[in-house]
Amino acid sequence: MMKKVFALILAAALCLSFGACNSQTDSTGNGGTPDAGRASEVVVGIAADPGTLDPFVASNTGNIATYQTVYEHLLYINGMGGEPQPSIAKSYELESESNGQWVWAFEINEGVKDADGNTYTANDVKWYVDTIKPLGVDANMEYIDEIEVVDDTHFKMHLNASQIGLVELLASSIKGVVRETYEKYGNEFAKNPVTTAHYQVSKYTTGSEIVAEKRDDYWGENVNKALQAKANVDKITFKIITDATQMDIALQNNEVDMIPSVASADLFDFLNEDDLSVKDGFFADDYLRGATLIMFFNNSENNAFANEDLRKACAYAVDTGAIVQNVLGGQGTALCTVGSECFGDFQMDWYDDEYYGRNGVNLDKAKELLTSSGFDTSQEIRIITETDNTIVRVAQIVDSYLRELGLNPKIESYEAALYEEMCADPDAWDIFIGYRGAGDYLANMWRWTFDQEIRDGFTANFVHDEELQGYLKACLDPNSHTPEDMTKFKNLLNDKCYAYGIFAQKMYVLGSKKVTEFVFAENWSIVPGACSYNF
Amino acid sequence: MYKYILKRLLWMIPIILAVTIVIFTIMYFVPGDIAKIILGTNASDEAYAALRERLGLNDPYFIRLLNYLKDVFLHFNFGESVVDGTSVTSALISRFPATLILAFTSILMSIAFGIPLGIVAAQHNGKWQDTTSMFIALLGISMPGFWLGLMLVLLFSLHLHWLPSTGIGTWQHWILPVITNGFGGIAATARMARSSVLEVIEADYVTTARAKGVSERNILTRHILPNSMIPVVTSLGGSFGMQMAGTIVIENLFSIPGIGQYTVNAIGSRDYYAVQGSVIMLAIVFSVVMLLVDIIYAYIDPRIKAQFEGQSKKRRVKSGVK
Repeated sequence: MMKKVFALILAAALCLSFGACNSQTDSTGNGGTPDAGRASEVVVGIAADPGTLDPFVASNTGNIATYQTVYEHLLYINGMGGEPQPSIAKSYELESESNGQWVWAFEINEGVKDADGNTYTANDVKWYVDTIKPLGVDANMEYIDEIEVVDDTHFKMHLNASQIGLVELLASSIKGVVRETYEKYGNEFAKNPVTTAHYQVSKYTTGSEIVAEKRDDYWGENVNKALQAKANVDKITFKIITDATQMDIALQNNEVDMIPSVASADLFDFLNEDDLSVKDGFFADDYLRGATLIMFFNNSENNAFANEDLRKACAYAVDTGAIVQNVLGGQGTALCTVGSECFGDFQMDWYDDEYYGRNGVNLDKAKELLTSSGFDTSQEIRIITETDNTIVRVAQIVDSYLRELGLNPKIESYEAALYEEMCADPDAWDIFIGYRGAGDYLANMWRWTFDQEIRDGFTANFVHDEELQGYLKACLDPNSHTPEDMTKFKNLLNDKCYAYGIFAQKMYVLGSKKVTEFVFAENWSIVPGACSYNF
Repeated sequence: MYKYILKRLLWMIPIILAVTIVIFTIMYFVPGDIAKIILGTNASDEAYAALRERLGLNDPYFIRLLNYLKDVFLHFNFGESVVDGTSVTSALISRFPATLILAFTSILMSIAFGIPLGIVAAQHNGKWQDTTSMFIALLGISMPGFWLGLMLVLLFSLHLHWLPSTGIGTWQHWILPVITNGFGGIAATARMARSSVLEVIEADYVTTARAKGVSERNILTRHILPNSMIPVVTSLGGSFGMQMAGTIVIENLFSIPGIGQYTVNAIGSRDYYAVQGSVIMLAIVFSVVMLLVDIIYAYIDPRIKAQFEGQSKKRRVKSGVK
């Protein structure tokens, strides 16, 4: 009996000793306060593991979060639709334009060196492009015909297209990797890349964390004026936290110092209830997400939604403002076209135009159009979505609006891979609801969705409209990318109602009290090293 | 006994081969375009087609299967991830320890707490000890792992600041995931042990032993436990194999870089080689675990050991060897 009691006491003591042990919860707070000789550190929570740090892979959630720190680019773009910031490249200009070829002349800064001391030259740019193009992991590289090396610090980029913002997009994806260094390290490069960037990876534990430390021999000190090239902290740790709730807890617990993107629905742990201001001890910044939620109608020949009146009837019956309130808690904007104001070429006066159900359901008008379409309301309408909570909730609200109109919708949700397959099949759906967005210009977003040249004469939702295509081409051409051209396309797209814009979601970047300012590169990817801190 | 083990090891080869063919075929027919997953929606049809060609996805089924079988069985190479180009073999090897720790500690907890709990319940059948033990077991089986894990995190990380909430790094990081993962195992093992011990506890030989004046402790350790542990060992062995494959929820919740998380991500992104490699590796682990369970049977139950040795003797007699 005594032995049993003793064993129980020992077990209890063991449990208490586990609990009383000092854990890692304080490490960022303590480590982040620089005393003399002590490095400053910031921990960034990221939702996915990049898998590899190799420069020749496709973008994924993990590497989007880390590559802005690990790699430098020829230039940066501030946030979305922001000004290009020369970085490795000092300057660039259009040199010539003829016969479907555009030639851009670039000058690289002199003395760009990686952490191994090897100099980055125009030959490395050519090598990078020649290596990544055949891999097919960056679709935009197909627009580069050739990189012509003039000398060590000058090269020409020969493009076979000239969409607005294309050269900036390409230059911001070309990374500062010296061929000699890459070949020297071989497979090891993917775990500990040696680059021209201000930070170098010192440790990469797959699935767990990536640690990058500031270089003292950075080439761009006092030379590289890009905001994103600054290094305001000595050490950055990217901590991989796959669960969204755990990410929030980690920030509250001081296990991380910033979370790059938080959906509005998860925000309320960090906001005061009364005025929705950020709670003491935290810092927040917000941006409008470039990927907007769109309701696409199937315009293929044999589909009922090839009928314009039916499409408009559905659009008048769906109140997108109410969807923003119900699904996003008001943290977003109901769209007035396909695309949002986060793009530089969006025009704010478009909000003044009437746009179907944006400001409330117009059921009478919807029913009138439904009648004139001659659609058999007993016919089932297939709405397909991805298995994303937000999209499914939106689909459920759309479903109820369409039922109120007298239609018979049915929602089918698929996981991402299958969803893309279904969207490409004209017989598989009538309406699909999904996010679309690209680059820094609305015109480019329209291009990837509505350019009929990309998909054998049809848009993503099987529209064939030559007038629409003509307006789109005018929007994409830098020489005719005017507000008037943009408005023409927008008006035709809205009039025909080939697709119905639902909302743009507001996203938040959250930080601990240590953070005083966030700095972003293209597509709102955060650059932790360049952010401002109060240690 | 050694021949039996060797025979089982040899049988693993056709089993693994069959698993490889089945999983390859399943992945071949699963719908979903990996080129669209990699490139996203902002790419042309030509770009998608070019990527599919480069990844070898346009080759016929048998060509792809033969190439894969050659790589796996002749070169021991599971291929490269089609999503990020990393070696699947390296990824699995690097992630194996984390899943092994979770699975192994869960089994240890089941043995250390589940079996004694079940024995106590069986020995005090119908009394408060039995009721309490089975109530704890019921809680363990009923509580979803992700819920329990989150509750533990809220209490011990967020409110008490005693333990970290996610990741791996120090031994403190493992406490909450191990408890979360192991609690269900304790419950299941306790119930299994209780029912198994109850069957044996009323046996004639136990009554005889008591009548002879053998102490309760010796009755338990020499008579009851050896005879009641066979089903428990089977259950633990199967559970260990399942744990190796199924700690996905725990790994995702606590951001533990294990095989479960790797496999689920690979399935979602149609990373064929990663999925195939994971399944094959798990099949190998499962086969080895089942072999170990069978070996343990032989040590627990002399009748089984004698059966193995008896089979060998029979063969020697038949072949005229003395």
